[in-house]
Amino acid sequence: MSLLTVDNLTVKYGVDTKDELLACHEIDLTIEGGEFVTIIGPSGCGKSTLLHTMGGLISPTDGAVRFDGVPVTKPNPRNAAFVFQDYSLFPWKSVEENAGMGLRFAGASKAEAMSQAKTQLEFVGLKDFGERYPRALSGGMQQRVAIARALALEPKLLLMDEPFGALDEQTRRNLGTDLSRILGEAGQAVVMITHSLDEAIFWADRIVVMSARPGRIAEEITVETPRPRQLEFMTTKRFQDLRVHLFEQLEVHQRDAAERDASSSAAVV
Amino acid sequence: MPITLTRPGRRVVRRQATIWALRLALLLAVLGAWRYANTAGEVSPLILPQLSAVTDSFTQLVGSSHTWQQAGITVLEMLAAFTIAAVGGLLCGFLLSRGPVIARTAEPLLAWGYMFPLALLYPLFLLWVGVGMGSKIAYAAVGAFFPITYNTIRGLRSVDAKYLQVGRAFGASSLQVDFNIKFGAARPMILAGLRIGSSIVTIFVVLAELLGSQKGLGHEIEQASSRLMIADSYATVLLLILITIVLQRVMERLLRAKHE
Repeated sequence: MSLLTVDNLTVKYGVDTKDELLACHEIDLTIEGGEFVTIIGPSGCGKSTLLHTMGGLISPTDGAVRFDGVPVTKPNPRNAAFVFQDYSLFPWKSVEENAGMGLRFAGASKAEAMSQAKTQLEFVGLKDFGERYPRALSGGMQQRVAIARALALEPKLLLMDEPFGALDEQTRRNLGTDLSRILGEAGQAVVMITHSLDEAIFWADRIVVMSARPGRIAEEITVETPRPRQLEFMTTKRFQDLRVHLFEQLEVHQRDAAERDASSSAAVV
Repeated sequence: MPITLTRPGRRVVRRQATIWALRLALLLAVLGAWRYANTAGEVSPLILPQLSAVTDSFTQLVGSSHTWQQAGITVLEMLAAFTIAAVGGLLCGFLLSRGPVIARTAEPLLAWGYMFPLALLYPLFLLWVGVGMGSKIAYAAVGAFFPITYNTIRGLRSVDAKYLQVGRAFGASSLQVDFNIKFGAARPMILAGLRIGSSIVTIFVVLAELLGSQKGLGHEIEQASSRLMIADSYATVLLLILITIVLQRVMERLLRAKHE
């Protein structure tokens, strides 16, 4: 059985108001255990909505999300744990407390949370920073703490919403290579949203391309090269071909969205 | 290993030295002007007593157990008023913040309560609670209650949605959301409210003692002034200033957020 299935999922915001917005439309998707799936698509295409629905933060308007066959109605961090784009660390808690906070919220004892926090901080390479406060850390280090917080729950699936979105190119690359080791060792399935074509290909067992709003799955591409991959993978022909293909796809969807917006606003006038 | 100052360290030290030298110079200038006013300026000793008379009076005050008894009463009133206002304000702020409707209703009322010149109501406090310590404590506690409650509500209600989302994503209980997330995020604002409250308490207690009381340093000042013992009056004011500085320093130390 698949780890997570998204079945004919539709999500609308503001149902029955004049601002009703169709964010995701009839999406079918499955995630297998240990698989790394990246989601890419134009801005505002409903990627985040899809991810949040997969983790139970948003309820489906129609269709269903199932984890191990059981419908997801609210977040269960021991199944699927989130890593958010803006790190979302608590500035009033130390790095160690932050890393253990997810477990505390999930109901673990303080002692268990603290010992897991230590283990996970060491795992992401921040052993000596437990006493510090998040403000003293760089963006890349803060995101490692957020990853440690999620890994502390030993979830079967990590849901990452543009985890490197706020980082500069060099930091992204360093964190990226480190993370492929970390996630490779931890063995979780990962669903990661990204805006970067390179990241989408480099990481993925499978790339999900979404169309512009309303979000639909336009294409799924399997990347056969085994993980973890070396940086040299980015210089191969297969990588370059995929990159060109994704680039064109995103262009098409972006243009579609722009045209539709233009015609709909013309209709209003 | 010998400790050596780095360049910026040295500059900071030098700047600190300059600041203290200037402060000393300012103090000397004030004392010099005072001395001039006493002698060549021919200012009436009823307005500005002799500097030496004030220092004499001050040494006498500090040596007398009566003064410390009065000071003790004033400080006790301040601490009691602050404790009541802090406990009441935090509790009310927390409860009022739980419903959006009730919070929106309460916010402007609390803001008005903060801005209203409560001194106008002091005669009523005397009527209700009497001329003893109770009226000072009640009056100062009411004054400090408003900013503390107001800031607590505002702090708890303006918590960044991204922090609350973390709570939801990891399954936090509502108790955990309140104490681990909301109070943590609101702490700087709540502490600011408590700091405002603590300075209001010191002002209100002394004011209340001046306006009508039988004990406390404020009462001593009022007594000395009405008997034209101006040097005593000045000396008591000086003592009061020193005591409030110490109290404020202690408060600030206690009310500083760890990560700030």
